Amino acid sequence: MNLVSAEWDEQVAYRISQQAYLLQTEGHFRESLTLFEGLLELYPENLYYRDAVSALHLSLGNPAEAVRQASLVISAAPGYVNAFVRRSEGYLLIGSVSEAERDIEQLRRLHAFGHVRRMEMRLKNARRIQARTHNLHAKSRAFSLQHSPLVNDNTPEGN
Amino acid sequence: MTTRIEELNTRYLIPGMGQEIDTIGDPAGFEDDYGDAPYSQLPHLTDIPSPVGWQELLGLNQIPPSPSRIDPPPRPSASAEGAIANSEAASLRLPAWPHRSRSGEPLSPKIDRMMTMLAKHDRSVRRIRARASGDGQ
Repeated sequence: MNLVSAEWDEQVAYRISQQAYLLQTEGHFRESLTLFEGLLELYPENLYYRDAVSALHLSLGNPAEAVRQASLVISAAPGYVNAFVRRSEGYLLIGSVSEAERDIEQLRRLHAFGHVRRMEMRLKNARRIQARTHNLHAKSRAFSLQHSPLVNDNTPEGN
Repeated sequence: MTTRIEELNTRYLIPGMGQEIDTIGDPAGFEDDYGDAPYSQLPHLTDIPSPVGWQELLGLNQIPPSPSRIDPPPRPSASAEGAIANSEAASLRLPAWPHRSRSGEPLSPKIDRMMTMLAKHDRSVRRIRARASGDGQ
């Protein structure tokens, strides 16, 4: 169904997207997302709007939705560098490090070396955090096993 | 035979300082007086490149690249560009948007939300304009 009315043309959409862009640069992410989502509903094939929605979900702390939107952009345009950057960032925030690594590899194939360098640093940091969390979990598991009443023989029964 | 100097007067002439008013703004006289002095010629300012703001020089006005950064929207086709300029100059008002489709079904809530926000923005702009024009009278 064509939702766009006769009065509603390219110029109107452009003016709204300009407003949405300015709102985003000023940090009004929610308002910017409202405009971009409305535009995307009208022009579902517009990759700029979908990419912007993905970016705004990242800014608003919804990495899963950012990944979903970026994946839709990538499926339509496999050479869209920004979408790979957003998706790899989203994967890192979710904790899917190997998927992020795959996207960074794709960025390298697309010769987006600036993005690759930045995302590799993010990846390194994510791995460090992951390793630290893993160690903490292992320590807390060992601690709880040591102090568990089932393991500890000195624990008086019936208390 | 030795000559004894009783008094030594030294005149320091600093351009623009302690001169008579009529000689200050006289570039011809200035050239006559200081023509031989080093650094007496003013540099040709036209040869100096136009200064760049320090923020621009340091790149501080650029948005840092980050995964959540958005590029400005691409301009629509060339035929629409003139129309955009005209419409921007003429009015910022948006065309009315029907809240229901032709079949009577309500439109997407996302479009509705966008239109509500734009209408609110439009109203506040008109209110500010009205207040500004009221103050001006």
